[in-house]
Amino acid sequence: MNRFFHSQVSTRPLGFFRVMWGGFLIYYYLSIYWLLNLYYGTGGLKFMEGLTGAAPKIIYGDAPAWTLQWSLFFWGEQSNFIFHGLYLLALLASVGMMLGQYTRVCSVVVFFCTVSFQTPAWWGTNSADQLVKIMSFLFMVASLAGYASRSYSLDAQKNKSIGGVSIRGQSLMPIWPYRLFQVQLCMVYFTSGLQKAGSVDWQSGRAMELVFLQTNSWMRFDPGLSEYPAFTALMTIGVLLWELIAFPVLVWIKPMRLWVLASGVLFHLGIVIFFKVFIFTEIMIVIYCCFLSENQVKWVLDRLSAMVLPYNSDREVSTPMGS
Amino acid sequence: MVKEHSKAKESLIFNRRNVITVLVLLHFSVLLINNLPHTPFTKKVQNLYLWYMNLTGQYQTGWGMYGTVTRQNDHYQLKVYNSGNPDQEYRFYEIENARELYFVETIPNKIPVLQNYLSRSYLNYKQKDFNLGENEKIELHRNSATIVLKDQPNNVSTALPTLIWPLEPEQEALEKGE
Repeated sequence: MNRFFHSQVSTRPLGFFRVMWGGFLIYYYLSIYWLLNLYYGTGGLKFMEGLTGAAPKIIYGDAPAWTLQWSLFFWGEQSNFIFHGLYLLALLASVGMMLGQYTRVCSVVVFFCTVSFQTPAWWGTNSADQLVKIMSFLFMVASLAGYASRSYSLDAQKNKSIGGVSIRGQSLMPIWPYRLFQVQLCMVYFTSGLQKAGSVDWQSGRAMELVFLQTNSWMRFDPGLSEYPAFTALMTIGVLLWELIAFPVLVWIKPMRLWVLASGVLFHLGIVIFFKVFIFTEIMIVIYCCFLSENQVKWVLDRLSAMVLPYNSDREVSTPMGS
Repeated sequence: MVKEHSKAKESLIFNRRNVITVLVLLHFSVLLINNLPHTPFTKKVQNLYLWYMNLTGQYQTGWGMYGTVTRQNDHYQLKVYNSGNPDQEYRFYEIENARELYFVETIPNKIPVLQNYLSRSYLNYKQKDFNLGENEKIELHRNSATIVLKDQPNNVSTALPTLIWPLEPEQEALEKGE
């Protein structure tokens, strides 16, 4: 137990993860503006008489699930100034998260803004948006604990110049903040698989066939796979096994990890190539960063710098498996 | 001596490391219960943990994409026409943005008042987005047909009636809503 939560690991993967998360948040907030404007702009859905009160009951049914959910928009009248101010604040805090500037403050701002924008947005949001809320909470915890900004951040640069932690060499941290993200990710897949396993369409192996028959709006193009029920049945079983076992179990086995993550990237890219989905692919791939080791992060950054500076021959080249 | 010994033991138990371990374990337990399908057990214990999930924005109602697969092949489109010139051709636009599609997909299953609110809100946005002229009107259309699996008997899909949500002037829409 002690090893699982408190063994010392490098802060670099978390720093890299934070940069990716900040980048994702900028993209997320830019892409969701139209929906937020629909809710909180002039004549917004959130402020329509009778609609707000009815919504939680429609969504949650019984009261306890709703109790204590909150949003800054629950208090006060519609105001374009507040809406746009908060939106701008969320964007600025996202930039702050990416750069690692005032990381603690930015993580708190991102959390408050994300929960405030998401909670009353009953329609047009799905579990991927819920995941953004959860991630913003987990990043707030990791940032307030002081670990998220120790690498690849302007905060760390500042600390370095005034004789902070990282000047003494490798910066280490306990592993529990990584565990928060890792267990959350596995939980998403496992419970998603569990829910599917209880459905008749998934048990009978017809789910993917049905999905591939929704050709009119939800598919980007029709690959004609619904013509091959045996193949789609195999896909159905494959998705179930991958979500229930392959990812949540095998990702914890170190030699398998990179392969599992690579299969996950292919899985999500496959979804986004065929189907019109929003945010889910992007956020899931970003969360995979929580499983990367220091060497793997170094390898990614080496490749990126090789792309940016292709003629720098003095670079050291690392391997992704070298952890 | 005994007092000192017990104090040392106490500090050993309540050190920062153990407190973090307990908190993280509690967090994981709550996460697991909240993510499991709702059962009489989860209903019994939900009052113990829901406050934490709700305050921290972590409450969720299920992750399963395509958990229940619809048996309808819906097709959502936006129709734009010139009300001042009926002879002019109308245009249909596909809704390519996945989130917009997700938003409009929820509309048909709602009570009429809610349908009115949501469709108005969306069509107002699209009206501005398309930069429509004064005489140009916009409507949301849903064409749909039932999905029938290939090897099922009588495998002919049935077309469902087209649903249309026009963008009516505000007063008219309010009266309809009431």
